Amino acid sequence: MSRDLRWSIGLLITGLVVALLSFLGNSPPAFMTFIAAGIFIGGAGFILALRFLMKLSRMGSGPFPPSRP
Amino acid sequence: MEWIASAIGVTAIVVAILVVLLVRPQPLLAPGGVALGALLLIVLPGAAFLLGGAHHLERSQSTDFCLSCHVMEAYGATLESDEDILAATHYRQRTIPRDQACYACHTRYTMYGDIYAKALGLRHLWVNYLGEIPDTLTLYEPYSNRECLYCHEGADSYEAVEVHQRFAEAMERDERSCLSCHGPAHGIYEDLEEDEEGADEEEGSAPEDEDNSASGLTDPVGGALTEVAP
Repeated sequence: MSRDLRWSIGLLITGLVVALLSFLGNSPPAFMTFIAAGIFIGGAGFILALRFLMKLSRMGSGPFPPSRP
Repeated sequence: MEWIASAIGVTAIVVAILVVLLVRPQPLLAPGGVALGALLLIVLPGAAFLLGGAHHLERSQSTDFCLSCHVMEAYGATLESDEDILAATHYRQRTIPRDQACYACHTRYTMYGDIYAKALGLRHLWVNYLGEIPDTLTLYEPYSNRECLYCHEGADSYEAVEVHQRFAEAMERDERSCLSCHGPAHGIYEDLEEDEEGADEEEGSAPEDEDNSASGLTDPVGGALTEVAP
C-alpha cells in the first residue's frame, strides 16, 4: 500500500475517532471538536483527491492536468 | 436524539472497517478495488460526517448548549425569573419550547436562518476562546420583528390588540420594534445599572449616565431595538 493511501486512511480514522469523542458532550467545545474532526477528514479527502489527479495525469488523458502532445 | 444513534453507529462501523483496511489492504489493491475504495474511503466517511453534523446542529439548538458557556449564565437565569421581563414570560408560559428557549428567539426565520445562526455561534466561540469578551454583550445587529411575528402574527391574542393592527406595516418593515413596547428582553443591564446607581448614591455622587435607558444601553437586545425604533 502506498504511503499516501496509508496517510489518508490514518487521517480518516483519526478524524472519525475525534468525531466520536465529540458526541460525548453537548457544549460549544464539543462542537469545536467536531469541526476539528472535519479538518482531519477533509485532509484525508485532499490527499485522496491529489492521488486521483496524479493517477489521471499518469494515464496521459483526462481533464487535469492537460495531456501533453 | 434520533441522529445520535445512527451517527455513532455509522462512524464506529467505518472506523472498524478502516482499521482492518490499514492492516489488510489487499481488497483495495485487488481488481475492482477502486470502487471499493471510493465507497469505503469517500462515501461512508462522508455519510458518517454528515450524520454527525446533523446531530451536532440539532443539539446546538438546545438551551443546555447555549447556557453551558459561563458568559450566558446570567441570560439563562433571566429565563426563570419571576419578574415581568420578556424572556421570562415566554419561558414561564411555555410560548417557546423550554429545551430550545434561546434558539427559538435567536435564530432567523428565513431559508438559511439556521446556518446563519450557527455561523454567528462560531463567531461567539471565536470571541470566547480567542478574543476578548466585552463587558456589555450586544447583538451584532438590531433584533428583527420577523422573529416575533413568526409566532405571534395571526394569533387571536395578537390580532385582537388594536395597536398591533395600527402599526402592522411599520412593524413588518422593522420601523417600529416590538421591544419598544414589550422590552427589555432580558433586563440584565437594567439591574446592573440600578446597582451602580445605588452605589453612586451611597457614595454621594450623581450617576454618570442617566440617559442609559433612553440610549438603548438598558438591555443588549432591547437596547439595540430602542435605538432603531422611532
